[in-house]
Amino acid sequence: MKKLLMLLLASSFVFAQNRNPQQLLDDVTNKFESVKDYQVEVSIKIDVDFLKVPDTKAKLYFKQPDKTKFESDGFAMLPKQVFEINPGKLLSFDYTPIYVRDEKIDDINTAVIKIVPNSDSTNMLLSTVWVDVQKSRVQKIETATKQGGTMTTILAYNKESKYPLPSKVIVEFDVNAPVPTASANDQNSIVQNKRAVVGRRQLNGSVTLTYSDYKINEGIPDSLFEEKAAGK
Amino acid sequence: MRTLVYIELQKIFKKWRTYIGFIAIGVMAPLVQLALYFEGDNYLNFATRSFSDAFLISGNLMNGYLVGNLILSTLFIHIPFLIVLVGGDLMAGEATSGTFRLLITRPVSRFQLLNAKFIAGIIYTISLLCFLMLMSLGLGLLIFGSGELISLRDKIYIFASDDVMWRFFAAYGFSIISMTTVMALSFMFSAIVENAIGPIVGAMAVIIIFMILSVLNIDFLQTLTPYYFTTYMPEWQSFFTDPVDYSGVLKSGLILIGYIAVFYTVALSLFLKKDILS
Amino acid sequence: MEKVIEVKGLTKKFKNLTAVDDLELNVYAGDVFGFLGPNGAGKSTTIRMMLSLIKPTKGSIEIFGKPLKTHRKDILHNIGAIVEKPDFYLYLTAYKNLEILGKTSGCDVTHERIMEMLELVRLADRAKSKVKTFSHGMKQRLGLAQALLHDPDLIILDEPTTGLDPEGMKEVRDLIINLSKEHGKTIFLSSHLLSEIELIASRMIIINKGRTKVEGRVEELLSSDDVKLKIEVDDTEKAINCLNESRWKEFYKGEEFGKLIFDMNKDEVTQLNKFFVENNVGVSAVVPTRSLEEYFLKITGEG
Repeated sequence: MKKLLMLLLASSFVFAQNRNPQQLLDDVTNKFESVKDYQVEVSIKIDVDFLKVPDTKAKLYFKQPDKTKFESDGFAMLPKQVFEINPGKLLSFDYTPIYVRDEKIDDINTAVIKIVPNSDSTNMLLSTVWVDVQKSRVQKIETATKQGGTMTTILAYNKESKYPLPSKVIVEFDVNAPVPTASANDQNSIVQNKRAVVGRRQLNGSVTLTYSDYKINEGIPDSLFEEKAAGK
Repeated sequence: MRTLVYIELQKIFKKWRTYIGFIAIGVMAPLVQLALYFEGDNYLNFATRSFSDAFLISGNLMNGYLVGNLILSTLFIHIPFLIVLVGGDLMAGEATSGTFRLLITRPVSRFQLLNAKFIAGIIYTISLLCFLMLMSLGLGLLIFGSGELISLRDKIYIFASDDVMWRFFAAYGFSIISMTTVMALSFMFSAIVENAIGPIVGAMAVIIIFMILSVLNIDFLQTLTPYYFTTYMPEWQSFFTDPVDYSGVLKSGLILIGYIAVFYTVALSLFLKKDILS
Repeated sequence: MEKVIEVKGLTKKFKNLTAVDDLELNVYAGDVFGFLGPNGAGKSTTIRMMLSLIKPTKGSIEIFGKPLKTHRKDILHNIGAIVEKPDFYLYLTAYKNLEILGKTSGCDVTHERIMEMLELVRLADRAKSKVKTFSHGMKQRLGLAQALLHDPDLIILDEPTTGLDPEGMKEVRDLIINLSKEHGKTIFLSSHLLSEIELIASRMIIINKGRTKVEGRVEELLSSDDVKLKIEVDDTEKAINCLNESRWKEFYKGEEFGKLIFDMNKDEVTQLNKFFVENNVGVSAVVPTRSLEEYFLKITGEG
C-alpha cells in the first residue's frame, strides 16, 4: 500500500521542478543545530469545539538533541505537536522525501515536500512540509494521522531572528478522538466510571502559541530535564 | 415573628432527625474525598482522554474545586431526601404530637405560625447546603488544594482558578432555590396530613417520579417536562459552563420561585381552614 | 355581673354529623363553671371552638365581651387552657416547654415565673427532665402549669384531674377554688368526675347530643322538693315489715348495705322519722343522697 502511494506520488510529480528534497530537509536540520538549547515563554490560546479552556502561559525548554520540558505555574495545555515540529524530532524516523512543487506562503518561497514513513512505527500516515528555501526553516506542516483526520501547523518567525525558532505557531486540528459523552446529569456516572458512555468524535479547532523572551544557547543543565516532568 | 422563628429553629435543631442530614454529609463528603485521593487519577484520565493524546497537561486538576463540583453533583437525589426529612415534619409533627392544641390556643395567628415554620424550614435548608459546601469544597480545598476546575457538561470546560469560586457561590445560591422548592413541597404535604411519614415519602416519590418521567423517551411525556419543577432544579450546573446562560438561570429560578409560592399558598390556605382535631 | 363567655346558637357539623347543635351558654366573671355531658355530647368540640381550634358552622362566641372571630389574639392573650390530654414536645425539657409556650403567648415569661409554676404543680425538681420521661399525671400537672403561666383571667380545663392520684386531685381542686376565690379567675371546667364538679362548681351546664339541657347555679339545679334518703335503722326487718303495712311503702325503694332507701318529698322526712319512732324502730342516721350524678343521669336520660 505504502509502495503504491509512493509510486503514485512520484509519478504525479514527474514534471515538477527539480529540487533535492533530502538536501532541503538536511539544510533545515543543520540550521536547527545552531540552536544548542533554548527556553521560551509561551502564551497558549486554545479554540477547540468541545473544549473550553482559559488562555494560559507556560515555559518551554529544549536542549539538543531531543530534551524537552514544559512547565507552568498553574494549569496549561500544550499540543504535543509543539515538540514534534523541532526538525530533530520531525525528521527522526526512516522516511522517503518527495519534492512536490514550489509554493509561496506570505511572500516566502517554499518548497513543498512530502514525507512518507518507511515503516509502520509512527502514528503518521503522511506528512507535507513547506520549507523556506532561503532560510532553511519550516513554514508549515500538514500531517495525516492513523486515527483519521489531519493536523496542520503554521509557523511564523520574526524577521530579525537568526535562529529557526518561531515567534508564533498555529496548530489546527481535525482529528478523531475519544470523548466522554457526559451530559450535565451524568457527572455522577463518570465518578462511578461504570456507566459513562465514551464515544468518538471529531476534535476540531486550533491552538495558537505565541512565543516571547527566547533565551537561546545560554546553557541549560541536563538536571532540569531529569526533574519529574511537569506535563503528563 | 423573629421569636416564633427562633422557637421553630429550636424545635428543629433539638430533634435528632435533623442531624441525619448533617451526619450523612459529614460522612459522605470525606468518603468521596478519600476515594478521590486514591482513585482521582483514574477519573481525570477518563475526563481528559479526549485530548490527552494530543496535549501535554500541566497543573493540578485533581484539586478541591473538582472534588467540590463532584460532590455538588450528588445534589440530585441525596440532598432532597435530607431536606424532606425535616420539611415533612414541620406541620405534621405538631399534629402527631398533639402540640397544635398548645400552639393554636396561643395568641398567635395561624398565618404567623405557618410562616415561622416555613422560614425555619428555609433556614434549615440553607444551613444544610452551607454545611455541604463546607464539607465538600472547604474540606476539599484543604486536602487537595486549589487549581483549575475541569467540568464535564455539554463540553469539557476548564476554568482558571480565579474564575471558579464565584461559580460555586452562584451554584449554591441557585441550589438554595432548588432545595427550597423541595422543602416547600414536603411542607405542603405536611400541612395536609397528620403524620410526618406521608409527606416525607410523598415528596420524595413526586421528585423521583418526575425525574423518571422526564428521561423517558416518550413524546407525550416529553411534552410535559416543562411542567415538572424537577426540570429546572439542575440549572445550577449552568454556572459551570462558559458562557453562563443567565437567561436560562433566571427563567428556571423564577419558575422554581413560582412553585415555592404555589406550595406555600396551598399549605397556608389549608392550614387556615383546618379544624384541629388532633 | 360581667359576662366572660357568651355562646349563642353555636353549631358545628362534620359532614353528616352534627356535633354541636344550637348551643347556648353563659359564663360570668368569677364562676367556676361546670361543663357536663355524656361521651359524644359535644363538650370537646365546644371547647375547641371556644379556643379557635375548630371553626363553627354557625353561631357566635364572645369572650370578654369581644367576638372571638375578630378579636382572637386579644382574647387568647387572656386564656389558659388544657384541651383533652396535655401534649408537649417530648424531646424538650419541662422547663423548655414552658419557656417556648410562654414566649408564644407573647409575654415575657421570666425564669422565676416558670419555676414558680413548676413549684405550684410540684414539678420544680423535674424542670430539666425531658417530658418523654414524665408519667401521665406529671404531664397533666405540667399542663396546668402551662395554662397558668401567663396569668390569664379565664382558665379552660378539660378533664384536668385525669390520671392524678387522690392527693393530686385534691390539690387541683384546691387550686381551682383558690384561683377563683382568691384571684378572681373564671374557671371553665369540663370533667367526668361529677362529684368534683358538685364540690367546686358554682354554675354549670349539662349538654347532650350537642344541645343545652340545663344551665344554672349548681345548688339551684340540685335543690328540689324530692329527696333521696338512706335511713339507717337498728332493726331492718322490723322496719320493712312496718313499712309494708303503711302508706310509706310507695316511697320505699329498697335496701342497700343494710340501709333503707327512700325517694320522697323532703317535707315528709320528719313524718317518716316519727313513723319509725312510733313503731319502736330506732333510727340512727338519715342521709340525703340526691346528687349531681343522679341529676345528670336524669337529665341526660330524658334526651
